[in-house]
Amino acid sequence: MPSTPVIVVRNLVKTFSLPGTTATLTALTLPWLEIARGERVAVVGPSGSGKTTLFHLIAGLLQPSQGEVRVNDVSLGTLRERERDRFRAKTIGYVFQSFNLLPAFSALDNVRLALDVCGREPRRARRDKARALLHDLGLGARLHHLPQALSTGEQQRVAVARALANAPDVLLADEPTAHVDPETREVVLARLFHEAATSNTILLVATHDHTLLPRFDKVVHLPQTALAPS
Amino acid sequence: MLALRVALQNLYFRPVLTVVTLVVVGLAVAQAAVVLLLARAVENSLVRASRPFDLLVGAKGSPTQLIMNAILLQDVPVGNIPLAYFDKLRRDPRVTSAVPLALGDSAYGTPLLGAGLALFALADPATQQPYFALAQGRLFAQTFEAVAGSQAARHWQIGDTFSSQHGFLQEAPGPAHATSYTIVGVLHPSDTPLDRVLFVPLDSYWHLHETDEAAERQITVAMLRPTGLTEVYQLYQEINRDTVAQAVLAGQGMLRLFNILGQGETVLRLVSWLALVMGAATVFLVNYAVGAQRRRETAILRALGTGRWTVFTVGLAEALITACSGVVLGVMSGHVLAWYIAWKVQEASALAIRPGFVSAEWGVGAAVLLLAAAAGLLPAVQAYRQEVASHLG
Repeated sequence: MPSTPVIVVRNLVKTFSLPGTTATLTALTLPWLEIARGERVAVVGPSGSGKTTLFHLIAGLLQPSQGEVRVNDVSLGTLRERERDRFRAKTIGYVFQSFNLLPAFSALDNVRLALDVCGREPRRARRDKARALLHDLGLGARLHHLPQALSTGEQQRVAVARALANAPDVLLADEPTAHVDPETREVVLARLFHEAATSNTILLVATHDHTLLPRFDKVVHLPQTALAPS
Repeated sequence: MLALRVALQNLYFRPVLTVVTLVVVGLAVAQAAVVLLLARAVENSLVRASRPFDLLVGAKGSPTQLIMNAILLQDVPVGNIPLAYFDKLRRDPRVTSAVPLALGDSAYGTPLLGAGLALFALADPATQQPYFALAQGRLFAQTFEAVAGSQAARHWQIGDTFSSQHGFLQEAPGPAHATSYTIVGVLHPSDTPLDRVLFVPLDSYWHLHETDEAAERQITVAMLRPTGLTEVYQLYQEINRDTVAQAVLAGQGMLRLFNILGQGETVLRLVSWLALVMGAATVFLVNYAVGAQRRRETAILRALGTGRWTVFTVGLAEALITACSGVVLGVMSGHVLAWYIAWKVQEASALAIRPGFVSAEWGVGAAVLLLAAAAGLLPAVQAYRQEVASHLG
């Protein structure tokens, strides 16, 4: 059973000021969360409850309004921006809800780009690794296709391959099964769970699908957020 | 390196926009290059064309017309001067060489130049190389023999015979003369408009034009080479004080002609600068038009761990790559176009215009890159400052 917490969240609050008003929106309130290496965690809650915001905070894409996020014993708030960029490239694998593939890049190049940004592998090995990942996800015949030429399920699998490319410590998947058919859903989930199991990677999945919850070690429930005057 | 790859991939992904921008920048640069190249080449060509002519003496009238007719073989002759007047100039101790020329006839559009043999002895003072050297055959030795200039020799060869016509301009030839000329020699290129003429003895000219034995013989132009610079100005002033003829300093006259052309060049230069600014504006518009796509792409790159400076460089690199390619394309097509125009002008006038690389082209290239960098700066700064999370779906 995993024990050492890799992700530690304390008194986390994220608010956004609404343009043109004096009101602020509290997008997320999470008093406490600890996730150990290899744990599989589902994040559930109604739309607008802050699931994506939580993921952005863990990825260092947003700064907390209050509280702290620690990953691998480092408080993300203490990192300079350049250090947060490096942290994100090396530590986080992110499967976005709308995939966010670069439209000008082929499936292969989208995956390779993540490897290039991280720069951990030798240059020549990156292409082979990207190719192998896509083959594993059943996209061997679609390597050189642009995202617009891929089906939704295929785009989802390319996004998963990109997230796995740098063997991250933390794998964030924002509603990875929302737009795909049941067959693709199983392929995607199987690959994510396999990665969590074999690489001892933390897997955080935001989902509305409650039938998936028994597969996870832990479920985090986020309440509805509130609009408040400042 | 990563930024360059992303920028190239983006340009490749929107081929129509990229090609249109490239063509607009390329055309602007090509236009500027053509103006620069031809201005310099025409100036050099006019200088080369005037080299054999130190002091031109012709009938009173427009000096520009004298230059246009005698050196550039354009326009109609101003008039004639008496041979006796020429003989007086030839005997002047301040004159080292005097060549009489007669213009006014042509053969199937090729101008005929009646000339004294002294023309073929004229040499460049610096190199002592004759301006009009024989390539084949021999010089004319008797009446109704002819020597073809290098460009005229494309249509005529040794042994060919032809009848001349009165009239200098190809568009309006006069009636044909009865007697035929025979070509006996061909000259090397002289890089002057005289390359496109058929040289004939003055005697032949007089023979065909004299109706009255007692009539005074005349020539159209005298080419004088004075002994020194002081003598040039003395003769210039003395001849112009006379009522018989006018003297024109060939070099100065050509310079004046070039200055007249230069007014048009100034306008073209201005138009070229405007075109370059429009090219840069196109780069800016294209960069700006793809803003939504760029914002999303920037957010994705940043989410993957790419730094701010990398996404800044992507925006700038796209503008600079397009501008660089446009400059290369423009300079290349500008050179090709300039050579084509030069070839057409040479075909029509025998002015040997040779557009070479001019240093001002570096200036055009640098200006375009600078303008493109300015055009790419705003999208690059926007990418640098962009907030990431809100642009990720």
